Amino acid sequence: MQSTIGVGFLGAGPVTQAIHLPTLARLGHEFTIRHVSDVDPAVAESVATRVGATHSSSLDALLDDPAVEVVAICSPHTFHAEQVIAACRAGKSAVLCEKPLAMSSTEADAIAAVSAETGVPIVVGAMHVFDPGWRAAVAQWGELPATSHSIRSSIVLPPNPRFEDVATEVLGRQPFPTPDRSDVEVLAAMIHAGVMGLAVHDLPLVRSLLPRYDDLRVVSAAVLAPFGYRILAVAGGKSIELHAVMSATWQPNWVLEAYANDVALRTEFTPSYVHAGSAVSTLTTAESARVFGPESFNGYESEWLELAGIVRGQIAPPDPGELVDDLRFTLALADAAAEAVRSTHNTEAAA
Amino acid sequence: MNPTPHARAALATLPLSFPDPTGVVIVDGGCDWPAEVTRALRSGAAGVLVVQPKPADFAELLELDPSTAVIVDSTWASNPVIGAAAQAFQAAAADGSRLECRVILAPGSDFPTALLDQLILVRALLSPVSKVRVQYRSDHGFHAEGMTDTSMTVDLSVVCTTAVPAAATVRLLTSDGSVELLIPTGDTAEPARLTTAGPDGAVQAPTQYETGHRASLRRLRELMASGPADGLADLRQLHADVLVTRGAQRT
Repeated sequence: MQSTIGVGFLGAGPVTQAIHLPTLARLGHEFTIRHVSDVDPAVAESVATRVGATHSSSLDALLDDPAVEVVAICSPHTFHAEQVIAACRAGKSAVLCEKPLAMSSTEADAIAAVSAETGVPIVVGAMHVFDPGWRAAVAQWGELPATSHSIRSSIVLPPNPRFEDVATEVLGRQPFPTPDRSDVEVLAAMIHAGVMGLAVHDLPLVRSLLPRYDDLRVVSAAVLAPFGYRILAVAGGKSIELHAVMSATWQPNWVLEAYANDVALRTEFTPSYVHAGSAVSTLTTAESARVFGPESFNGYESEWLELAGIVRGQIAPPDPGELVDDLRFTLALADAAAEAVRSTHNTEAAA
Repeated sequence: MNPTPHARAALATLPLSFPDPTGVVIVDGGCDWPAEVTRALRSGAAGVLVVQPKPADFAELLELDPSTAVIVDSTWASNPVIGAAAQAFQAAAADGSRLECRVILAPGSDFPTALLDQLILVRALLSPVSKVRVQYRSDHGFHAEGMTDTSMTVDLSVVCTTAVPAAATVRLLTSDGSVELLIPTGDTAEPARLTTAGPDGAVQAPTQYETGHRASLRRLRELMASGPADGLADLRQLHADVLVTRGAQRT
């Protein structure tokens, strides 16, 4: 067995280049990147060469590589489920799948089944779940999941290159398409993508504050310009407001808040891509405020370290049922938000 | 907590502006304030301050002689930052698509009054809100969506908690920045925070350590001194916002 854990990347786009490679460069005592696979052979070769890894353009080549113990799935969302399943069936030590885990409930069921059958641990790369500033607050939040009544996620982000370009030198960046906002199906797809691609970062955190979500109801949903969403939902008797805008601003602001009658939690996350330390959480009552963080490491580093602990048998892997439930919650929200956009559009058109 | 004593205390901080404070009638907006204002106007008050009025029916009041100055001392909109904030929000409005107005209040607060206070604030900063639809309401707060006369969508929300002090936050995101305003309750001189962010950085406006009540009394003094053509103008705007508030409660 290798002294460090061998990692293979499926997908070598900006997330791999700007997030995972710099993170693993900080964790060289735990991991070695052994294989990089991408549909674009030139990108695969270039990224692999940076880290002295093998490269390929096929899933099978990576899975057949005995040096790969952990498969990191950083491909487009639609490929996640089949690649997670294939990696589990290949008998790898663990799978790290970028969020979302899959794109449908059927896929989620298939993943749960193969995880149970093979016993291969699966970790979803929802970095905020692992953020030490968040986790420290969770450890001290007492009855907040039961008593909180209002939850709000607000995300304001500059264009990704503002951070990607200082995290690495990105190769093969795809241009951002210009959507046709006159088409309601485009708008519905945009808000669905907004949930699956952006809100998904915090939805496991939101779910951890909900007693249930089978009664989830999206009250309103709107696509915001230039790209973003505002979704108001209700679940488990709590209001959930999700707000996000990606614009040309230089000022990131990523905040999750939860309010009970006598306690409030506010967590401010650092932007993705750059290693700017952990989130800072503040638990406040009328008498006092307790602050957690910042730590010098962020959720990415924590998720990889947890993965190392899982592979080495030192940490119990996440419950696949919980991961699938996170996905079901995210899908339910995305689908309901898309339907709300259609409904609003049709109502306005009829008026 | 009744804010009227705070307003009375603020009157004592303007001894030169109001050498005879007995001419000023300070009306508690939490009771039957239209009747009290009517009595004050008919008894020859020099000026009237209505402190944080609840939604009420006062159409008849607007028919009275408008020569007496009446000022509405509102929970958020009376903060002395409002003039500078209005300039900032209006300058950014053409580039912003959606205004957020979020309020923290103590549990048990009166929601129609909370909504009215938000409408008065948005009017002061940007434009009157002409229609509002309540999207969700519980014992712990509400979410509503409004539309200004300038066709900007406004998200209005109230969350009830004792964990953090009561405050109003207004945010307008633009294509390359934002305008954000945090207003504490006007009962202390804790200043509001107005921050404008653009391509060149972020600027925080100078803080003003003056209570909203005192700022309202200064406005009253200015109106009294000018001999108002319509001393009831504040009340007319309040009436329009009350009608929108009541319409929202019915949806």
